Amino acid sequence: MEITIGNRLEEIAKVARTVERFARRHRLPASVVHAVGVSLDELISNVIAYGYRDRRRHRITVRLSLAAPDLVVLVEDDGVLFDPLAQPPPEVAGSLHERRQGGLGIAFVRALMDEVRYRRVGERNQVEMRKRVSSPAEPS
Amino acid sequence: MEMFETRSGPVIIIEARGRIDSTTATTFGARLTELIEAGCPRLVVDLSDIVYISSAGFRALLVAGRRADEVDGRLVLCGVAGEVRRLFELGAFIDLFAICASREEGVAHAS
Repeated sequence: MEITIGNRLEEIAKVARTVERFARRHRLPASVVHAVGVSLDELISNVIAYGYRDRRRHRITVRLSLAAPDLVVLVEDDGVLFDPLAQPPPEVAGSLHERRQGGLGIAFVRALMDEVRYRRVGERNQVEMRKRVSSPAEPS
Repeated sequence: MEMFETRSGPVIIIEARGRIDSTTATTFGARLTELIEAGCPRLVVDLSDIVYISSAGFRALLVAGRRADEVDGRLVLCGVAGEVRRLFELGAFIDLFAICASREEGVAHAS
């Protein structure tokens, strides 16, 4: 299943709905919807916020596929070179008033997914994530 | 994301449903801050029916928590379980927020 959205935050909802549809079709557990939903929100919102230096409309593509025992999620964008995995870990110390939030989203992605890889292909960023789905059921 | 509000004495219980993500976190956070600034700084946010919360949602909770603190109010959370709880642990938010096991306990804590 594949979806392409524009670089606007509101469009992330379309991705979330696609993930839910894919999960229903393949009877994936709620924990997978949770992991993939959060991870895609983190990655795509990063791309939208930091990936573009112009005001033009850009496209971000998400591809979901099953390659037993994994669910494979590919995110591709034409933003500036950005390796989310090269970012420093978040600071998680400090009181309610001192806490800073940088890097938290990527830390969530790393923790929720079993594998995350980044590569730059031509003018595009590609992030491939894998999530183990114990025994994927056949489509109904 | 939808928010349902009920009142229990001085406390407002906000039940969030759906996704608290980079698209909906602004609305979510704005409503919490609005309630706090409108003189209802004692809030219980019930997260048991959310599909997930991403870092944008945590940011909204942090901002609302700070605001509640500043006006001597209280932001209490309940329904933090399973996968959602895992993210709270990962981001070291467990000790940052008052987290109660049930709504009733949350109301008692916020009162």
